Amino acid sequence: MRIRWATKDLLIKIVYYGPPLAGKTTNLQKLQELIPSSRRSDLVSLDTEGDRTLFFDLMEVSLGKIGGLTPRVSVYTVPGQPRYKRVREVVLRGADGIVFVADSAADRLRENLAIWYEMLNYMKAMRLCDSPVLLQMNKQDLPNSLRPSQMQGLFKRPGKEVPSIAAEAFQGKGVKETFSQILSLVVSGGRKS
Amino acid sequence: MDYKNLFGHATDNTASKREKALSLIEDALRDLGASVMLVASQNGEALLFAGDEEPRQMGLLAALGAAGLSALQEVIMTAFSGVEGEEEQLMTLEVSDGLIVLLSSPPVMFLAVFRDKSRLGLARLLLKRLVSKCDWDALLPNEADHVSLEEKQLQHLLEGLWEN
Repeated sequence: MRIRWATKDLLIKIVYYGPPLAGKTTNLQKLQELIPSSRRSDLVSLDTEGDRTLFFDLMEVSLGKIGGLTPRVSVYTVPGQPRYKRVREVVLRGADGIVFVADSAADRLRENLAIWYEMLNYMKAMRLCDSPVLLQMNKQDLPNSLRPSQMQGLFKRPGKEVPSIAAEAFQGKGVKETFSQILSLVVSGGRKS
Repeated sequence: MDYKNLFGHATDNTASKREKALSLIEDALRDLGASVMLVASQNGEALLFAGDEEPRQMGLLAALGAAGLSALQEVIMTAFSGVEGEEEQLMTLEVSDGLIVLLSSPPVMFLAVFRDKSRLGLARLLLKRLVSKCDWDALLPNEADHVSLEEKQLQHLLEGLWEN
């Protein structure tokens, strides 16, 4: 968190990270539906091609006022495709909290884990090791999805707990809870799990 | 001036740091013949030295107003908030009756207003000295620590966020 003192904004940056088509943009689209327009910006999707994000999505959410400050949450997604590795790195910079949106389909486990470790490496290089990461196990409604208990132990972070939440973002399930929980983790310094 | 009373119940050590920092700023003000000196932290708090008055702590916007610098507010703020990272930024503004020199070294900024334009070099030196020697944190405790969100506050904010 940092303060943009000129406008008394308390800025919080949240990044939704994960493999392609895991539901990162869907999370933001559902957040857009759930949050009144007076409290958020429009969802800006930069350079999309069909259903894939080629650059990133961004939405800003205003949480109201507290202690003379206005907490503002900038929510980003990253493009999941392997060739946009550099974009992911850039978007991740300065993140206060990260939601890792994993595709629960069993056949996508390897891909999930590859991008999970890529993220951890970036976090280490960017000294973001203290930033909390919340694992969202999305697409739990798929017939071939791994159960939360099967997934939880697979996404490891050295020396840190990895809190997790099950979701069906397309149906709106778990979207609000994910957003609330990552903010809570940021505010508590990652202690909560 | 009784600096310890000015800052209330500070510990002796903190009070001593504050006293030293205040003395450094007042020395610079005198050496430069400045009408205004201002130290501000990035969280928007400022300490204003104007003439012989006691230094006053207030929000930066209010301090700029009190120093008669409201018209330059946007320029000054851009200079301060536009700097990212550790880099210093020195800015000189020429106004009708003198110069304004601003040294932004996040998370702190020092600003001086003075008439004698031949003292520009001196002003730069003095502000650089203040940045390196002045324990500004003792003057303007980091408000960010105090205003950071707590979980209860966050929960309260989140409750009001969602559409019914």
